[in-house]
Parts: sequence; C-alpha cells; structure tokens
Amino acid sequence: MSNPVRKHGFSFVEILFAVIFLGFLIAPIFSLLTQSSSGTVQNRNDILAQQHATNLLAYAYALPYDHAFLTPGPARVIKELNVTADGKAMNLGMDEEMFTRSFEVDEHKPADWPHAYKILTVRVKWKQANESARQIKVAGLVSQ
Amino acid sequence: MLKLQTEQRCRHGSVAVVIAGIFLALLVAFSAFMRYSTNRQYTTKKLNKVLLAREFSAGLATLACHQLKRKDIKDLSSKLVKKLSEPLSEMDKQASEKITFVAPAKDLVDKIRDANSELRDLTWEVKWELRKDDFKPCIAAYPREKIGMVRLLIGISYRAPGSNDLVKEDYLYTTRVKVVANLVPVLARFTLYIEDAVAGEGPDRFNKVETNSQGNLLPACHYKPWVLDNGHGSEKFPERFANVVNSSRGLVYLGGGRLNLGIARGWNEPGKYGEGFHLFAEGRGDGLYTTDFLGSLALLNWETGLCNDISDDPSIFWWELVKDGYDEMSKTNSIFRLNGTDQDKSPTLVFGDIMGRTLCARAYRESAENFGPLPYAGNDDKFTDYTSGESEVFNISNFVSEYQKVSGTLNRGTYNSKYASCLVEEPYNRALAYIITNFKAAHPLDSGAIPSGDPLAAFASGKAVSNGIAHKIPAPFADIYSGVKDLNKMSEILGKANTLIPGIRAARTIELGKGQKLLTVLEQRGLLLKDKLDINGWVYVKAKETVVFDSAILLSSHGGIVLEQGNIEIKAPIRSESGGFLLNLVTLSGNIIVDNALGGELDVAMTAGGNGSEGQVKFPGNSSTNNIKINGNVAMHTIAKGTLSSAAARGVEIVYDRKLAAQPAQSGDEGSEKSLLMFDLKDLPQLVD
Repeated sequence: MSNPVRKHGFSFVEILFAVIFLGFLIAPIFSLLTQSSSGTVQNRNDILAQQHATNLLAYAYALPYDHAFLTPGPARVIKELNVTADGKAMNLGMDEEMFTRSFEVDEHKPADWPHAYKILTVRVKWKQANESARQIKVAGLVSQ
Repeated sequence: MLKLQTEQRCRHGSVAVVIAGIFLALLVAFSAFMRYSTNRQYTTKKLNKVLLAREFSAGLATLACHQLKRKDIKDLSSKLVKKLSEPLSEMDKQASEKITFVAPAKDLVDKIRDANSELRDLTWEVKWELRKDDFKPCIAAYPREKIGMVRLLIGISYRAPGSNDLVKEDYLYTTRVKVVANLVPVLARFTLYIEDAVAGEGPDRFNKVETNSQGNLLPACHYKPWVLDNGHGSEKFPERFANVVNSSRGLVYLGGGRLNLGIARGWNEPGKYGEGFHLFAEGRGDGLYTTDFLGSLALLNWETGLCNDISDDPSIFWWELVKDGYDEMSKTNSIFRLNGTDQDKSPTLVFGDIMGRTLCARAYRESAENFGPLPYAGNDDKFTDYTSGESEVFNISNFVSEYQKVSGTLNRGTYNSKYASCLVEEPYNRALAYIITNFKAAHPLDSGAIPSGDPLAAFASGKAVSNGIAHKIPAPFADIYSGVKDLNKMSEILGKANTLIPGIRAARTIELGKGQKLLTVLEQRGLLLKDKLDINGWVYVKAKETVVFDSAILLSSHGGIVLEQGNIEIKAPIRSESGGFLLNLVTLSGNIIVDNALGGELDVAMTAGGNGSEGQVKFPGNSSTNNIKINGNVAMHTIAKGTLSSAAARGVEIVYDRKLAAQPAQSGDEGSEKSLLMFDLKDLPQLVD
C-alpha cells in the first residue's frame, strides 16, 4: 500500500535539513550585505565631505583677494561658517560632528610680476565606523 | 517497490534543486547589489578626482592667461601676436599653439600640481586657440582692430582611483581679448594740431621770439621756440599732396583764422632756431630775384627771415631797410618752427590759414652801376632825402627818375606800398615749393615741379583757403568719421572717438574717488608694477580731481588713458622701456600740463579737448626752463588762451612718432596700425561647460 501524502511532500527532517543548509550558505552573503551597507555609509560620507570642501572653496573664490578670510597661514579648522550673499544669510557650516574641515592659504608673490596668487587647500577629515581615518583634499588657485 | 524508490529519489533531488535555486538567486541578487555598491563608491571617489582635476585645470587656465597677457603677448614675433595682428578678414579660420609655461607661471604650476598630489601620474597640456568666428570688428577704419576671445584648451590625464586606468579630461576656457590701436583717429595724423590757434587774439600773437641773424636765441628772450620734427628729415619732399598725406610725415593744423608766423633768419652759419630754408636761396646770399619791370629797371626782391640783430653790417643793412615802418615787427619771429630748423629740417604740410612773414628787401637794377635798394620811407623828410640823392645811406633818385618817365610823379604812399622794402606775408607752405625745387627757382610754382592741379600747389600758393581745402580732413582720413569732414571740429572728432574709446575700444573703466590717485589704482589693478606701466589697451578714467603723473614711468607696452573730464599733470618722466611704446594721454574736457620742473623726454601723445579756455596742452616756464621733448604728438583745442607767456614760452621739441601716421583701411602692414596695436586680455578665463 502506498501513502499519497508521503509521495508529494517533504518530510519535516528534510525541510529542517534544507533550512539549516541554506542558512549556512547564505550567512556569508549577509556579511557581504553588511559590508555593502557600510560602503553606502562611506559613500554618503565621501559625498558630504566633498560638499563641505567645495562649499568652502566656492565661498573663498567669491571673496576679494585681500579678504581677511584669505589671510595666508597654516591650516585652520573651519566648522561653522555663516555668510551673507545678496543680503541672504547662508550657513556653510557642517552639521555632522564626525567631520573636521581645515582651510590653508599659501600665498606666492613672484618678483617683477603684477599678479599675486593664493593656493587654497581644503581638507575634510572624518573617521569611519571601523575607526579608520579618511580625508579628502581639494586645492584651488586665486589670483590678484 | 522499485517505483517507490524512484519516486523517493526524485523527491530528494527536488529539495536540492530548490535549495540550490534559492541560493543562486540570493547570490545573483547580492552580487548585483555589491557591484552597484562598489560602483557607487568608485564613482564617488572618481568624482573627487574629477573635482580635483577641474580645480587644477582652472589654476592652469588662470596661469596660462597671465603668461599670455604678461609675457607671450609682448613677443611681437610670437605666433599669437602675429595671428592677432592680422586684419580680421585675413585671419585663419583656426590657429593654435601649445603654451609652454615659463617662470614665474611654471613655478606656480608646479605648486598647484603638488597641492593636487592625490591625482596620480598627473600630466597636462595647455594650448591657445584663435578662431576667426570668435571675433568681430571694432571700428571699420582700422581692419586689425577686433574684439573676440582666446580659447584655452586644457587636456589633463591621471590614473583612475584604485586602478591603473588612465582618465583623460578636456576643459575649454575662454578669455576676452581686445585688439585696438593706440591712436586717436585723425588727430594722431598731426605732429601739432590746434583747433583754434588764434584764441580770440590777433594774427600776430605768436611772434614773440627774438633771435640773432644766425637764428640763435637772444639770452634776454622770454620765449623759446616750439620745434617740430615731423619725420623724414631732409628726404626729398613729395611733389604730390596725396604722397604727403600718405607718407608717415607728421602734418600740422593751426585753425581758428589767419595767423602770420614770423620766419626766423638763418644767415650764413645757421643757428639753432634759424629758418632760412623757408625762402629762395635759403634766405641767404644771392637771394635776389626779379619780380617786375619798371621801364628799363628790373624790380627785385630778396626775402630773409626776421631777427633782432644789428651787430654786423649785413644785419644793420637789413634792419635799416625797414626800420622806419616795421622796426618792432621785424625783430621778432614766431614761437613755431613747424618745418624744423636750418639745422634739422623737417618740412611738412601745414593746414589752416597760415602765412609766413619775412623781411622783403626790394631793389632796382638796370646795370651793375645803376643799382640800389629801396628803403621804406617813414616820413616825407626821409622820402625827400632818399629821392634827392642827398642821403648818405640810401639814394633812390635813379629809381624815381625812371618811375617819372613811366608813370609820372611818385609820392611816398605809392612808393612805400608798391616799391619799398617791407615785411611781407606769403603762404607758409610756399616753403615747400622752394624745398622741392632745391631753393633754386625764384618762382617755384611756375617751375612745374608741383603740378598746378594738385592740391599741394593750392597750399603752396595760398589758394587752399579759398579752395576750401585748408581746413578739410584729407583723404583717406576723411572717411574715418562719417559726418565729420572738417579739421576744425575737434569736439566732434573726440565726440565720435568718445563713443569709441570708452565704448567698445576701451579695455576698462576706472572711477577715481576723492583723493584717489590714478597711479595707485593702476598699481592695484596690476597695470603698474613698480615703475613699469603695462596697460596694453585704452583705459577710460572718471576722476573728481586732477590726474597727476608724479613718479617716473617706464612703458612696457602701448597704452591709452582717456580722462572724461579734468586736467592731467605730468610731473615725472614717462619713457618707453624699449620697443618704442607710447602713452596716449587724452582729456576730453580739460588741460594737460607739463610741469616746469620736469625736463628731458616724454614718450607721450597728448590730446586736450574742451571748450573755451579748456583743451590746452600747457608748458609753463620760459626760455631758461629745462628743455622738454615730446616723442609722440600734441593736439589741443586751443593754445595758451590769454596766457601765452606762461603756457607756451618754455618751448618744446615735438618729435612725431611716425607710427601715429597709420592710415585707415590698410590691408598691408606698411603704413598700417599694426605697430600701434594693443592686446588687452582679461585676467580671469571662463570655463565653458
């Protein structure tokens, strides 16, 4: 005599075995997912860092050459930056605590040359979730 | 039993397939997600590099632009200058050349490269490119004047982040360029242009200079002459009007009405300011020529220049001939040496109603024995003295006898007006006819050396005024300003120029605040570095106070400064470093004053426009003030109105800069505006996205 139910289904042991086996197989894939997720966060941080750097650089470009903000000197940290453009107050600061932004102005005045130049370097540093340090650097030139 | 075993085997196989399927599906999905995530990170990193590369390209473009503006454009043999100097219609459709950075730009390129060290294996190439389609003409008269842009093509390559792939990026920047000539059209054609030289005074107003018979200045004379060097020196003078105008010889215009300019005597050894070469036989020995006949007598003239000298016999003789009628007038000559001097002849064509005044000794001659001068008789007693033959000085009895035979009794009035020695005014340009005939033709206009129908003959004969050409802008300059055909329309000429110079021809406008100095602002704008002025274009200035040049300036390019209103004072030397550069100073309504403490040379062209007493170029001082020499030209509305002794007594040497004679519509380089071109490049290039 044959049992029609046994013929068309899986036994509990089979399903249990299958689930356990599948679990073993997909565990590494989930770890990749975790990695990918942290990559996405890193990506977001990169983009934010670039934005903070370019914001500062764009502001510096808009200033007169002799503006106090462009005073030559070693790198200085600039976190908060409230500016007024066309009568409107703008906040070019960084909300995220994790970022540190520095601004360096290096002036060059070639002899017998009517132009003076400032090389502006913006560095944005931050720490990733795994505590590794990251930074981006953008440099530009302004002239008198 | 066998069937059951087979069914069970199949069922086990299905579980494996399902597990494998699920696993594979998850694997594919996660792989795709991973690839997407990795790509996104790569793109973000690449974006950072692109940002760096773009900033680097902007730095390169700025430095390239500065190098072109400050160095490459100064090299007149460079391809860029050659291409920019071509007439617009003859420009190549496209031309380009690699820019090789040299110090100091090269050092700065290295520094911004170091600042962008995150770009691995960074290389670049920068080129300038000119496209004919990027340009439009500036003013029609000068085909090389144009406005357009220089393209800067920047190619950058670097390694992609996390790989060895080479990323190449191209950027296009542009910078505006203006190519304009350093001249005020029409006025620049004149060594000396004075719209109203009469200035409400009489025709003799300029006869103030006292020289000796050689033409040297008398020590006590307050005035020193204005000596013009119109170029071409003693070269053969052209015999056609068109050839004079089309040459690079500076012309002269003295408008405002009739002027009688005393010609200075240059006897024997010509002195510094002598002008004997204006006259037949150079106003010296053997200058007698027949003008008419009276019976058996030939009537003779002998013209010589004016001087205040009775130190020797010839001088005393000339003076005694006219002293009774023209004592004072015969002692002074004009402050102008428009054709140069006996020592430095520089003949030119003088426009306006200008006469040259000379001393004309008259005489009669029948034979070597029957010969004598005809002195002016100041009163009846002297006339009686001369005619009776009782005078120890002059005896005109033979002349009177012959006159009576022909015309009856001779009275003093008729004698003085028709036959006696006197001062005469002849067309100033008659000198050109003597020069053309090498001073050997007593009646040079009859010699045919100058074709009678040529306008030059009209100028030399004094008919230019009645012919209506004495005050006309000569062709081809007459077509520069439509509607302005007369030379005595300076305000209209400057008015038209006004629409050109601060308009499309101007490189920049500077507005000076109270107390602000132009030189300081020029320094701030990078146009003046230490003492080197590098304008290379027209600057339009609005100022509330006098613009003062009070520190020495070396010109390292051509430049023009147009002051909207007010005075310009020159208190320090302005010289060209090399290359014959010229600073064009124009005040549209005001005076230009050269300080009396300043001596030496100035490489400037000066134009003072205005109305009334405005519009003067003044040289305060007197004959003992330092010599001043202008290498350029001088144009003004009026001269020393009411102040001749304080504004024109110093004297000046004006050496015409022949480049200013640039003719309009010249496609060939010769005689064109090419050597006066200025190239104004904007400092900051724009990125074309």
